Amino acid sequence: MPEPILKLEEISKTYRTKASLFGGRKAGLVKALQSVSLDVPKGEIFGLVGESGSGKTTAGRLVVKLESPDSGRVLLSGEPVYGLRGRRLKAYRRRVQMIFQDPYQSLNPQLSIYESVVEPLTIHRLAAGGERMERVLSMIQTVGLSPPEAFVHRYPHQLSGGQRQRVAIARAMVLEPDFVVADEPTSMLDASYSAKIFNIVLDMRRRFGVTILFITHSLAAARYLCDRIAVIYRGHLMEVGPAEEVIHRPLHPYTRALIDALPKFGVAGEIPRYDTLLETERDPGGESVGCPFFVRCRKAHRTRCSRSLPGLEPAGPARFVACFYPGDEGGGAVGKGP
Amino acid sequence: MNDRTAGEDKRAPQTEELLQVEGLTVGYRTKRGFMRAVDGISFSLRKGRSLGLVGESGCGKTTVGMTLMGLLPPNGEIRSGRILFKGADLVQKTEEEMRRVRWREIAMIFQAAMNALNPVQRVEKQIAEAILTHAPELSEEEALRQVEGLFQMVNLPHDRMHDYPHQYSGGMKQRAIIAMALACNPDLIIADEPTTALDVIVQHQILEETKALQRDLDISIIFISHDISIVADVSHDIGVMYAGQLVEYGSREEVFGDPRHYYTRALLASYPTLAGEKKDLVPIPGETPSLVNPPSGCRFCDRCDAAAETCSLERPDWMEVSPTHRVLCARCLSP
Repeated sequence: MPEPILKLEEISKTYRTKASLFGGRKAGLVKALQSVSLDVPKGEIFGLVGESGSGKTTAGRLVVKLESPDSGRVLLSGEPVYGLRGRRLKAYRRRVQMIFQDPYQSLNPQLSIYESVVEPLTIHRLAAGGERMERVLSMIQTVGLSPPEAFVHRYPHQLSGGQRQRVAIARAMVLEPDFVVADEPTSMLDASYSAKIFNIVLDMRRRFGVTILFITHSLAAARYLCDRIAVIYRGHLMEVGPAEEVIHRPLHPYTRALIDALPKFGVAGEIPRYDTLLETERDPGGESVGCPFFVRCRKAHRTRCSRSLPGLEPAGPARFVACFYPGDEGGGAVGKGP
Repeated sequence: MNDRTAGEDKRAPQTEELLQVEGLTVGYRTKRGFMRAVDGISFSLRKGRSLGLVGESGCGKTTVGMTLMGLLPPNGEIRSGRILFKGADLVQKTEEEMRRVRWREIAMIFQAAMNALNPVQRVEKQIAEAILTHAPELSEEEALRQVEGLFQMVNLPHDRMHDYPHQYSGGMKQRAIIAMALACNPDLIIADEPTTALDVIVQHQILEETKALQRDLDISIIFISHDISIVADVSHDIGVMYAGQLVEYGSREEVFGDPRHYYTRALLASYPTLAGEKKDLVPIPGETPSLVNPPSGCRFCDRCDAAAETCSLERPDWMEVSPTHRVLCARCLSP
């Protein structure tokens, strides 16, 4: 594998939650990420796939330094990201950009499209005078808003959701960053606009060689866009590998449960059913120190899986899985539940 | 539910259509003029069948649901058409008459159902209240017994009946909402994006349970969603909506196996899937037309690969592909 541009080394992040007003939730700790390690080589589109609360957004926010980890390191081109100060921090902020989920909130409604896209150039004192306008126009053209002159003087409220998200992409890409975190950039958009955004993301990689961390809940979207994916569940990476491989030959029981749950759209014949999910959760049996999926896993071994946490281990070429009984192996305590 | 057999007599005979919508046009008065959110749509639904209305935001699918429930906002207006439900036209009914139909005969599961429960009342109490409002002759104990049955039906644990909504997970809240919709034994349930806010695993469970309930209780359901894969999973028949119109209608197998309207085809081509060869997604170019001054011809022709010059001028006609499959486009008949 080529030298990784981004490296996460045993990142852990815990949030402290307040008790809710009416006592529905007690104060406590939420482990958003637990000892997550990842390498993303230059030019790759890497997908982080998980359900809500899995920690996938936290991982993205850590990369762009909107959060800092409790332990572990993030390295960009070999340089630790935490501890950067002054000019080097500003350089980092230029090299790493983020595209947010909701284009209705991520653009300032009082700025015209030109002002939104030129702002990063102004902040980083890049280009000057006429060249600025040129770069803005060319980037707006690149994201498919054409002719760009017709868009630069409009305001976000005059654009559709899909067009706004393209402006947000232009704003991120105008600095020609090395790395972009895209956090569910299409979850607010209709299918026909999502396809456009996906294709723009692919085009950005082709044109600029940018490396992308694509955060999504959709395995189908990850399959379309990503070279490799990691499946994340409750702060743990469960499985990492080439996208097509993970989707068509999933090894982790959780990945298999996710694939079982997807509506199959009349093509169920091609995709086997794995039946790895228990209908009712089993009792974790005291302090949960084992696999986070233990309580839902049909294949788990009652003692081994509840008492020790499987690490992410190699499982075939370019594949990694965090499970004692990956693939078709059974754990022994196979049964209907607790 | 113990009075389900007793409720049988209020139903139409098996052979008839439960619901027939004919030429329904509904819109909203806005500052820019009358916006025809739903423009002349017709479809019908037999008892025990499910219909999926699929389309992108702004296509009018939610307005159809709200109109059937008689819950249009103050600036909403039915301009023309009939809604025959068990033979009677709902459009002609007064608000008082609609109140007797709503929930008792047609119930709705709303979008963002997570917020549809009263946060300061125990769940069992809320559902019992819904039952008692529509069946005042019951005692509170009887109503609570029915709630117990409903909880069992939607797979909610019995010991969580006394909880408040905030003690529930998203999936449990959605199940409670479904229980509430079932509370008065409706003939028809309108489910508007019932699982949009849920994670895939919970979504799958709820869709499977809903399918089973529909089969067991012989209810008719209209599923409204932007998500083709969900609609394809749960519906017998599919109606594809675009810019206020129904553009294709048929059985699930016909519409997804042999899509004819170019919009349906484009929608399917823009959707990433897990199975089969990985193929390029084709976005639909352009934007949807304004519904205040809609184009006189085909509404999709600006974005359509196959559009001819006449498409933008002449109103398209319904073409029959098979007795159960029709499409609003003359150029779509060739496969």
